[in-house]
Amino acid sequence: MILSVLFLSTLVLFAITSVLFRSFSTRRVDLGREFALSGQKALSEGAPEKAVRDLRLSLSYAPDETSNQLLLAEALALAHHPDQARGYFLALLDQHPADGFLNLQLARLARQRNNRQAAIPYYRAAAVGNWSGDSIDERFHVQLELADYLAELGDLRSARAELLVAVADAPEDPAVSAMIGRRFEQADDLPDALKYYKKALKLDPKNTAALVGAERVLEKIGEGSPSVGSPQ
Amino acid sequence: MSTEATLIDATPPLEATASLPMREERLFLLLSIFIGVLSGLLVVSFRVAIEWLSMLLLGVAPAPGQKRLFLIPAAVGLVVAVLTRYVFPGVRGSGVNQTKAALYIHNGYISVRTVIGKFLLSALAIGSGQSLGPEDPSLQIGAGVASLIGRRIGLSRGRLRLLAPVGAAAGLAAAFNAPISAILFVIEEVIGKWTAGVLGSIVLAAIASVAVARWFWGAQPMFQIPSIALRDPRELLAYSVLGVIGGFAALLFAKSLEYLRPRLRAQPQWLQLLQPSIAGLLVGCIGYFGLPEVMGAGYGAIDQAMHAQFALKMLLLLAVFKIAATTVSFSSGTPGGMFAPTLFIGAMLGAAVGSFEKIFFPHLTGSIGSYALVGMGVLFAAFLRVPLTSVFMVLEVSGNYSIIFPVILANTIAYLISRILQPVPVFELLTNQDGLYLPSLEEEREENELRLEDAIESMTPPIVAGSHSIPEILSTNRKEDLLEPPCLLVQCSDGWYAARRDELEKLIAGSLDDPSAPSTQQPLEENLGKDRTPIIFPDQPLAIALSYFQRWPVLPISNRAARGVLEGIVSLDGVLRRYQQTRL
Repeated sequence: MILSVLFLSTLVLFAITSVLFRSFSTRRVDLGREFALSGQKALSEGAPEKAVRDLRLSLSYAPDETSNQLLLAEALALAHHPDQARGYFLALLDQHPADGFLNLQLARLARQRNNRQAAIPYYRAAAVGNWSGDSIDERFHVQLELADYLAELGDLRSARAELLVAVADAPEDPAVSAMIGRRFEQADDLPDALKYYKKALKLDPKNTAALVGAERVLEKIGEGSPSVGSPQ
Repeated sequence: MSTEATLIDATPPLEATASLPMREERLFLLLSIFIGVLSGLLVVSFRVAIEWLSMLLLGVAPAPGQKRLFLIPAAVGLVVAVLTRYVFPGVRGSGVNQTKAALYIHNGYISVRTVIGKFLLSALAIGSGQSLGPEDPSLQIGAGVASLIGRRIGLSRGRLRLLAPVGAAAGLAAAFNAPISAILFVIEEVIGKWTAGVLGSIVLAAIASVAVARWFWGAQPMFQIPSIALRDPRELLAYSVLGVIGGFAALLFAKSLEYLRPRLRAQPQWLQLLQPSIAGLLVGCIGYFGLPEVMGAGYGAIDQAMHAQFALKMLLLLAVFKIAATTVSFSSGTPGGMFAPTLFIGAMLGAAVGSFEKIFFPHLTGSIGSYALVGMGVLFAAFLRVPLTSVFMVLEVSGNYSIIFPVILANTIAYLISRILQPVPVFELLTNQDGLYLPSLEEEREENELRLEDAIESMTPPIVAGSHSIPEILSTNRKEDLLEPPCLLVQCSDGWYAARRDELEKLIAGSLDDPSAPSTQQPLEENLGKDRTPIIFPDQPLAIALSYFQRWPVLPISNRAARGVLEGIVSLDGVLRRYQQTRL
């Protein structure tokens, strides 16, 4: 008898708690959404500090909203709080270690802090990570960014290697080919630079960037290696 | 009619005698699950109530400069004080000591009024911004639910006493979403000793309550930080520093409470009635003038500290003001606990050490989140003096086992500093201030329990084989030799028998008077009583021997590897002498 009463009491309390909890959760979700919208608006209006405040409030009501966490991390980075942004991205990365976007953001933050040891692995993880949308295009751009970074660091050999990997996914587009050519040129790989300028010109003979780049490369090669012929 | 009585009535008398303990045991386990579920539901409602009240009273976006930040806590403080004084007098302060007192002084009795009062007033106080936490009240609410159910079921006094810690573990487990820590805390702090009898029920109740809490809140850990890879051993030095800082911060916190609480309690009654209000005003002023994070339990701020959201100076300010705010709130007698503030202070100090490291030693790899997490464990170990619980608490609230090594290192350092500089743990301090003296596991750890090996006497009385008859024994031993010592050990086929001199004298006299009597020719063990001395070993507690001396003059101590081999004997005189030496 007493156990039946206990069982019934449990059911009643469960029902009451569920109703309370549901109304409480709904209110929190509403508040989270309200502050998130306000934060997004502030971010788009170029007010990162206000965005940080609103997004923090949003997350205090809806802490598991990953998109808001990302926005907050972005807002923190824009508001010149790189350590705080990094903290957020790292926490998110712990939950989604293969996320390409998170790895890229962490790579950029590490790059800002001149932390080469951290930046390069994050770039590489981003290049092979999961991306929503056109993942091939995203990975291609990550590899280009990594190649830029390596070239900036003076590690031209590694930059060339990254570019060679990246071009495998490059779209057939004159502007992209010209851009690749430019990067090979920056990485001091003149034959490959010339190859891609030529490719761009083949796709679009009037592509100015490719024409100028090819002329520049030919001049350089002419000084060092006169055997290379004209792109046309 | 109680269920217990029903069970007895429904069973035939002979069977009842055998099956009652088993049935009561099963009933107890079933009740533990109900207690866990009910406690979990109540704790979820309690947390929801706090959050609702906080949103209603302090607003959805509390920020410095809002007047309600100090007006509301002051006004609510007055309401809480009046209700505490006139309606719910048993709800002052932390729930841990009240539960412990219920267990040791009131046979596990916690009134329904106390449970209701604790729920309502703690929710009001914390929701209005007093710097207190919901975990200790949750513990008491769980214990109160258990006590109520036990009384309704009509459990015996002994069982009722065991049920309170079961509920306490359930309440705490639901509040922390951490069953192992709750179980360990209840054992370390509430029960005060490891007892197998109640462990199964505590585990069941804690798991049931956490299952309920996770049904509502979700299964994710309370705090999420990245995995830690200790790439540089020098990082451990920073964690050690955190241990030292945490030890001293815990000392400051404990000393502040030790100083302020008795002074506030010594004030006239009318002034005591105003204290929660004044405390609310002071805490509110801290919020109004720039640190609203200090108000309430502060879990949001802990999460922010873990994500490196505060600068070094801000972290130190938050830690210092949280100590001040919690000291004032708790000393004023406002219902609420110290777990959450302890975690808050620890997280801020940890994050401060992490930030310092990032600024001055940027090549070290530890994240600020990991330092904040370790800091929480450090304060928990040093302030609440529950080292085992502190380690598991950090692991459970973060779900991150990569942190275990730094946690153990830092917690141990902080715990040792706290023990050396503050010999009386904070919970004991508070109970002593209330005029109560309750046991704790730390106290038990300090005691060097005497074992049988400490009183063992290698000189043994004569030993004779129980399979020989008395004439056979007398043919190989002189009668004077046998009767000279006060007793004699007989090695029987089924154990040992310690015969007193007068018992032996009677048997020898009988055999000499009538050598042809059948009893004279029988083996000695058949002429002795059927009972045998208990089988005891040197490593067992000395106290267990005392109950046997009414029956036996001495007790043989057996070897664990070979039972027939004697390690020696213990006598009543020897045992008493050993105890007296200890006291001296």
